[in-house]
Amino acid sequence: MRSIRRWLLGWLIFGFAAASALAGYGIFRTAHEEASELFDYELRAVAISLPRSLAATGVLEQGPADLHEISDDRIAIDVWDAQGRLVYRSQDVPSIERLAEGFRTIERGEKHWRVYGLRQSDRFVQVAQPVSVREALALRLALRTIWPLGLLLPLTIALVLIVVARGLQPIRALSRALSTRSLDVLEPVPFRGSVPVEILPLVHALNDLLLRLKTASSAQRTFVADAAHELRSPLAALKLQLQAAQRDGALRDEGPTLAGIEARLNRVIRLVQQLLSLAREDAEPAGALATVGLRRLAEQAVSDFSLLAEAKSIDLGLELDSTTAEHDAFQVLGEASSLSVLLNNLLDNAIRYTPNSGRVDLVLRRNLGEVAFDVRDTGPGIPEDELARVCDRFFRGADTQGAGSGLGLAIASRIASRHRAVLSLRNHDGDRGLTVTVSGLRPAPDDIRSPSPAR
Amino acid sequence: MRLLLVEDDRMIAEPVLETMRRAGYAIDWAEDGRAAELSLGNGVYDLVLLDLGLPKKDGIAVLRAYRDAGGAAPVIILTARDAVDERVRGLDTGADDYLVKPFDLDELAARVRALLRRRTGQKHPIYSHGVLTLDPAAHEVTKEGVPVALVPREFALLRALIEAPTRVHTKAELEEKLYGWGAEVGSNAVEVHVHSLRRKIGAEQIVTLRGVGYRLRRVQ
Repeated sequence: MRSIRRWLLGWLIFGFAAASALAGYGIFRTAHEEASELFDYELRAVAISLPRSLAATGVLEQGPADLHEISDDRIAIDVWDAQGRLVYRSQDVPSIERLAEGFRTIERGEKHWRVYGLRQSDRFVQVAQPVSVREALALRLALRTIWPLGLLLPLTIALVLIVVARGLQPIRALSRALSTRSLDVLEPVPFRGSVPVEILPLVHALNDLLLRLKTASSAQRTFVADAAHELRSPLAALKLQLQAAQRDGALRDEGPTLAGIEARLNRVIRLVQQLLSLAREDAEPAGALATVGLRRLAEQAVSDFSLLAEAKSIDLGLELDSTTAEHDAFQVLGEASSLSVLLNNLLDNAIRYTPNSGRVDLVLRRNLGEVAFDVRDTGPGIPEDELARVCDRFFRGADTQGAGSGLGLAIASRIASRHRAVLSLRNHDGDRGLTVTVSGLRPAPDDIRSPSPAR
Repeated sequence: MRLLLVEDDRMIAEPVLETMRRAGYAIDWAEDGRAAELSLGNGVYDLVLLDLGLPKKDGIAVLRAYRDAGGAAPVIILTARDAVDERVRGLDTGADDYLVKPFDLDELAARVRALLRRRTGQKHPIYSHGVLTLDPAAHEVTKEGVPVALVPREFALLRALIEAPTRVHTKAELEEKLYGWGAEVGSNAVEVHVHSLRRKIGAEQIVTLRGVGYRLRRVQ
């Protein structure tokens, strides 16, 4: 992943280090050359200033005391007289033959020497100095010149680190503010402190987008509520009219026709209700989840379907997983009305598709610190190749009979995902039946009966 | 019994009016919020059926004004809006019950009956459901006209069930009705009484909803 911070730090630090190295090298070279020039000057000065007495005394073995300090710089001195005889040679140095006048660098005994020859009226003076000594001195001199540069580098790196961190702070704050909020929250991004002009347009654009999204979503909610009203009223009127006609007795002979019309009308009513329910779930933001007693909702849902189940002689029941306490209220974080719709849709499907004298169970479970429930039936199940698609809107299986809207499972899975739970379907192995599982409901924090989450 | 229907949609109002009249109630009709206020101000009603989306004055406002003025008749809200907070708002404002359109006429009639009965509750009506009747005043139960002798706990149990025959009564609710709050009750006390009651009135009369509770069998 690209990182502005890493990019900035990398280029700044390495760029600056490279520039410093280049500058350091340049300074070093210049200092070095200047030192060389100085040494050459020194060598020449030594040659010129050698006492005239040196040749006259003819001392070969022992130089005069005042020349000792010169030997600190390991300068070798040879003096020849006008006849070409060697009249002086300093100690401890390899012999260097007489060379021409001027500066040159030669190699003697694995060492490089810098040699200067000077012809004077009555003699020839040749001074030589090992290059290594000159180099060492020049290096010391050059290093002394560039040390501030060495100090500059860590200081600059520290400065770059601080400046980059401070410079990117607003961006970091913004992304933190974005990452900690729920995806469904459409409130504008809160931004404390002054926003830098560079990211101000970004924040504005984002808040503008959120605002438009919020407006659109609330417009959709209003539309759904209005549509509910506008669709329901005529349907209600139609249904009441039909029922009144049936009671009336005037249309007694049309009994089967009326029953057929009522069945179709009920189907239209159900479809409209499911559509509205889905639209409402789509338009609803995640919002604040409250503590909801899932067991209470489950009891209510099972109770609501008990007449329907009795009519089909279906054994309907609410079960608790064997590991849970008898009085566990299954407090979860959720939205009561949505969870009721979810339970009702699943139970409705189960009872609808289970043949007479079958069995439907709603089972509440706790699983690794989460709350889950199953709706198990003894119906025909769903063909394996359709399992993945049954939660699609308006999907109806090839063999599906009955008056389903094709929306029940779509609504259920939308509600589950709004609760960050997962809805899954599984045909029973061996015997007939289907299990729909909703897992991953979050237990309410104050649910004291919940076991601590597994770590 | 005099009822008031507040409903702006003639197509809905007419079947309701007809059904209620057929059921023996006198019922008036107000077509908008203003008319409803006038009617409520003048007439004495035993029950009000109130639509929320009304022209001229909103149903909730009508209800609030009626309750503020001391109106005590039970109010059933009829609405096509089903948002939950709207329902809560209606009940908070003083409605007694709530029906979402489209509703069943039978359902409406049943709710009206239940609310009117609650209003005249002191007189102890005789409950009947299918082949069973229960007379709270005389402490009598009959099945197909034949008296059945019940001990007090069984009688209390059947009374709880027959008062709301289509509702499922949870074990906890029944325990509370049989023993009162906070009493020490054996964990299967309700089951024991249900069992003995079933022996006397017929096992098929009481339906068990596993894990939830009991109710009386369905009557066609």
